[in-house]
Amino acid sequence: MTIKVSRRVFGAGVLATGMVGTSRGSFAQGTPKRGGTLVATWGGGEPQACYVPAGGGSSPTFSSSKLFERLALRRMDGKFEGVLAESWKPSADFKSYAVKIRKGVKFHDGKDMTVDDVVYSVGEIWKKYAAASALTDFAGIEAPDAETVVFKYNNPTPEFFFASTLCGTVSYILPKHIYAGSDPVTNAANNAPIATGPWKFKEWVRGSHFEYVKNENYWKKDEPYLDRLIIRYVRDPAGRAAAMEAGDIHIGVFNPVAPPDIKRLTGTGKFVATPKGYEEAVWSTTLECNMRNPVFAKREVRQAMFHAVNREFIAKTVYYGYARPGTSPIYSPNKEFYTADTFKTGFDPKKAAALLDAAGFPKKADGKRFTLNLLSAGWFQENGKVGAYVKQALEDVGVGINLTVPDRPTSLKRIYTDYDYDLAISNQANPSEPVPSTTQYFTTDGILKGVPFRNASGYSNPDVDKLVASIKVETDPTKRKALVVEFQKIIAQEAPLLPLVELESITLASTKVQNHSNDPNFLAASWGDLWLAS
Amino acid sequence: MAGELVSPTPALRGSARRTAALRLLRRRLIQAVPLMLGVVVINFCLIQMAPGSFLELMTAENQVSDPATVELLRKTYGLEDPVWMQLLKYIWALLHFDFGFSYRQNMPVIQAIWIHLPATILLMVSSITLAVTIGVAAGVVASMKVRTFWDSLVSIAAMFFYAAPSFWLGIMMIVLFSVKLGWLPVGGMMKIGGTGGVLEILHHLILPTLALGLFYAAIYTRVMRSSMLEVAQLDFVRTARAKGLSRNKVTIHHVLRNALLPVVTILGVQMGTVLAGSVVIESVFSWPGVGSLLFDSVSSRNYPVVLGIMVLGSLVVIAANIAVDLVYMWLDPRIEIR
Amino acid sequence: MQRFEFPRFEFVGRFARNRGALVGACLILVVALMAIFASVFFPTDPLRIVGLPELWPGEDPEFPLGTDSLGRDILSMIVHGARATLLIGLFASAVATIIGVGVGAIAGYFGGWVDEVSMRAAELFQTIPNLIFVLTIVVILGSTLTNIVIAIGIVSWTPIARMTRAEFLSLRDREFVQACRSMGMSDFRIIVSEILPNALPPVIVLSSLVVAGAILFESAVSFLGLGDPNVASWGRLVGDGRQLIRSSWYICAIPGIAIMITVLCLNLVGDGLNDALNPKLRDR
Repeated sequence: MTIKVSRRVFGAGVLATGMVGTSRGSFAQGTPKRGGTLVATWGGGEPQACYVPAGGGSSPTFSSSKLFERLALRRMDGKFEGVLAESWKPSADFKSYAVKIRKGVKFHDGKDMTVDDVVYSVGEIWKKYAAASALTDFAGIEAPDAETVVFKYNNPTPEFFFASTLCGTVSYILPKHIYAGSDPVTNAANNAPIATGPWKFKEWVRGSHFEYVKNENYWKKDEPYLDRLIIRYVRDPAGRAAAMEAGDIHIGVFNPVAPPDIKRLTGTGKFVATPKGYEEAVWSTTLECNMRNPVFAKREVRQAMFHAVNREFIAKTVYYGYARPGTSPIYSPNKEFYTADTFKTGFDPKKAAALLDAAGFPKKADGKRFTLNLLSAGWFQENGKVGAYVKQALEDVGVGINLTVPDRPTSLKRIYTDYDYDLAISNQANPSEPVPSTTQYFTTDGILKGVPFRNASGYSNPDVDKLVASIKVETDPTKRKALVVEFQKIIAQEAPLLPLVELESITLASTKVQNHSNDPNFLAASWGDLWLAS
Repeated sequence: MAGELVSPTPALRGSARRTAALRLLRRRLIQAVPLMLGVVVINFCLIQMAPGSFLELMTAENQVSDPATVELLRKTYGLEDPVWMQLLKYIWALLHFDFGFSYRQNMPVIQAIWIHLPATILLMVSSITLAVTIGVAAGVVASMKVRTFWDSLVSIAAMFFYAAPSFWLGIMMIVLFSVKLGWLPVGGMMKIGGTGGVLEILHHLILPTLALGLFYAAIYTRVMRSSMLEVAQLDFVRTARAKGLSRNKVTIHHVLRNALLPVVTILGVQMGTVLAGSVVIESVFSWPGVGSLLFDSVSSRNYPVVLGIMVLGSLVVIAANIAVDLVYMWLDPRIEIR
Repeated sequence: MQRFEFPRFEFVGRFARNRGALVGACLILVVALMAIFASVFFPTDPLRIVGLPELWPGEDPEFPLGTDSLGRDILSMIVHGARATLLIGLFASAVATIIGVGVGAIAGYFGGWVDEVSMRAAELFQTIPNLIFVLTIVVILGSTLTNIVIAIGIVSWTPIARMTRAEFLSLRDREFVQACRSMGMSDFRIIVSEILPNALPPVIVLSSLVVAGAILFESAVSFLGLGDPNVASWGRLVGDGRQLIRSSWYICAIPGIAIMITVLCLNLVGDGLNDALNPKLRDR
């Protein structure tokens, strides 16, 4: 079965969903077969630790999410489903939520999971590390009885927002008896976690792989289907392609191989490539204007920056077509909130020049209007190429550009601590719920010196702040959507930061692998339901 | 340093030779102490000059904005002391073979390096072996057939490999032997999911060894050739020839042994550059060694590990130089080496 | 008083007798001309996207060496890269020579503890694995051309210092130097105007070899992605092409050949200079 990769907007088709434990996705056929070892990899390197309380990026998220579990998950059809929580219910004023905790769940060391573990995890780990920015209104958590915990908030909290918090990428339930009284960041268990998930940590051979084995006492009947799960790290895409071709690796998530190899491997009929499974972690490459530079005081100047850039070219050449132009701060796969009806900053160099002329920046004798420092964050190789192109595109409209492509630490520091840039090319990965992941790039309270992936542009607009504040507390889904649409319209026109392109992440898998890409953030799913056909 | 050993050492025998060796060893070890101290101080200061501190990176990666937590982390990493105090503490810890703690990997630095060490040692040893073997053989052949076709061929090949960047050579060999011919793996140290058997590792070792080793083979070839020619002009060789010994016999028994000395010298001096070269080669071939660790650590500003690798690398160089001096004594130089 | 005289005709003759050196010098001249007239041949920015991406050499006559993954003209980048590469090599060698000659001259001239300290310092810098040191300096201080040049200079000065010191040791007690001293000439003047010119020939040979080494260093730094992004250096081109070796290996191959030829020629020239300037000194 070969799925041809297309650049269509995903999420359009509603996928068949069933009960927990049965096949949920489209990459499944027949009855699950038990046993076997699945070898997986991803398009990045080995993590610094198997589990990092604050997330620590995609790599530790990938390795820890097979072991730890969250309270809930979001299904491919957009509905929420309990994992370690059985159900949750808001109070009448939406200021507290009562969550029923699943009974009979055991940690890998045999100890029972209790409400104490939930209270500890939420109060000590989520609030401080894993989900701090989603819990700004959080007033505390308590356990009235042995089956229930109550989340308390200072303000009304919408259900979608609350459920999204339960599904937070690294909002895991940790064993209190292992973590309490220690520094969670340096706890030795982070390298050999004890958790509740379908997979039990067995071994970490550094520089090579993790070995996880089946959790015999897993609470979900029949899962996991496989006996062993190996997460293998290969440093370069060519090596991954070779290993997949040789049958040594069955599945690779998050762009494991170079685009030409995707076509070559799927062409053999032994592999499928799919953009599914990234709907709750849509990546984009963004361009942001540092408002501290007076040049950007007028929004027409900011719009001109975007008009000057051909986003189709970036999508086609830099990303080999595995990307599409971005239009709004909310990305197009987001069924709940995305609107296409926003102010457009499409490719139009003449308009860009006209806007700059009108804003009082005519070309001077040297052909330049002004000169800007363009910083392209070097954490992805493609960013350097995007930077090279954007430099050229802006120079074509008379904007002088000094390009730098610093490595990850320097980029983080220059963008988010020193604000030492005029234009920055960076990346975001956002879930459907816009608060806080998306909104904190634009609100005044998102300006936090030294905290990465927040409002670095310094954009501050009372209207946006007020709008986001009401999005935060609006509990009526229809009204809430209208507010988010309003938010998108303002930001798209104001253009302090906009996506240049939305990236299409690809999973490449052997046709033997069943039930994959069935979760909107498949990289961070538990993988208990995967199985291997013979 | 080996190069300073210019005065002709009189031929020593038996215990006298051992005592001399021990004396030399002691002198070299004492000299090594200030050298190591210098290495530590220079690198420590260099890292202090870095604009983004390790703490900033940790807080950024963990998205910690709470000032109290930042203070706590500062204390945990021992960053609340003044710089000189941190340096003294570091040196004191080093004296106890404590290279510090890598918070990124959540393990002691020495352990993090230890994990990656075998791969690098394997690559270095195989590359040096290859380089010395090819270099000595080609140098001897060229010097015995001086000004013939073979001599020119060897010299031209040496010229080219001496000028080709090792990383480029590596990539070109991957293109030819892995991508086009499919004979050898593109990278890594063992098959994915492989057992790490000897043959499997050797199979993966071929290309990185060639890429790293051929550059040094070129150097040794040139040195060996000229040193062979030089030694062949010396009196004792002429005497041996005059005694009627065959040319090959003289070459092997008298010339080769003495002509090896400059190669040994360069070998010791270049131990550091071989180690450094492996950083690049490991990156080309995804070789899971110290070079990869260093590259990752530099890019994540994991300074305790960077410092640890620098200090250990310098130790290797110093040890190699001491070894060279001892080998010199063993080879019993009766001739003056410049 | 012995004055240094540059034996011009004799020098050229001896240099030209080494045929390899002659060929090398000619090719270097070509590279240098490329560097000087890069903007004449290719007036637009070499990093400009001008065509379709990944065109093979010969596929489109407009781009004889093809285009890279973004559609930039490889020939233009090679020609402009010659400038960056040669300049980095020359400046790094200049830095190394200035440090090396300075330290070596002082050590050799004054002797005693000054000599001891200087030589220990040289040993120190020889002990730290060179490329690792360069990488660390560049990462810590930032990937700018200046920092790369300084970093390479810092790891390359020690052989020059040793050579200068040896020359000074052998020259400082010569009669002409003693004569200067007795005339009350200052140490500084004696070093700079009397001994140094006589000590220079072997140092020049070594400096020319440092240029070659510096080009290799820079290419490795750029290859690892730590070079200056505003400069089309050859090493960076190899690094950029690395992801595409399956489909377009020529992107890696061409700049690598350029590096190899340049370094090869510089080595040949170094050999020739060696023969011409000091016939005694060989195989350094």
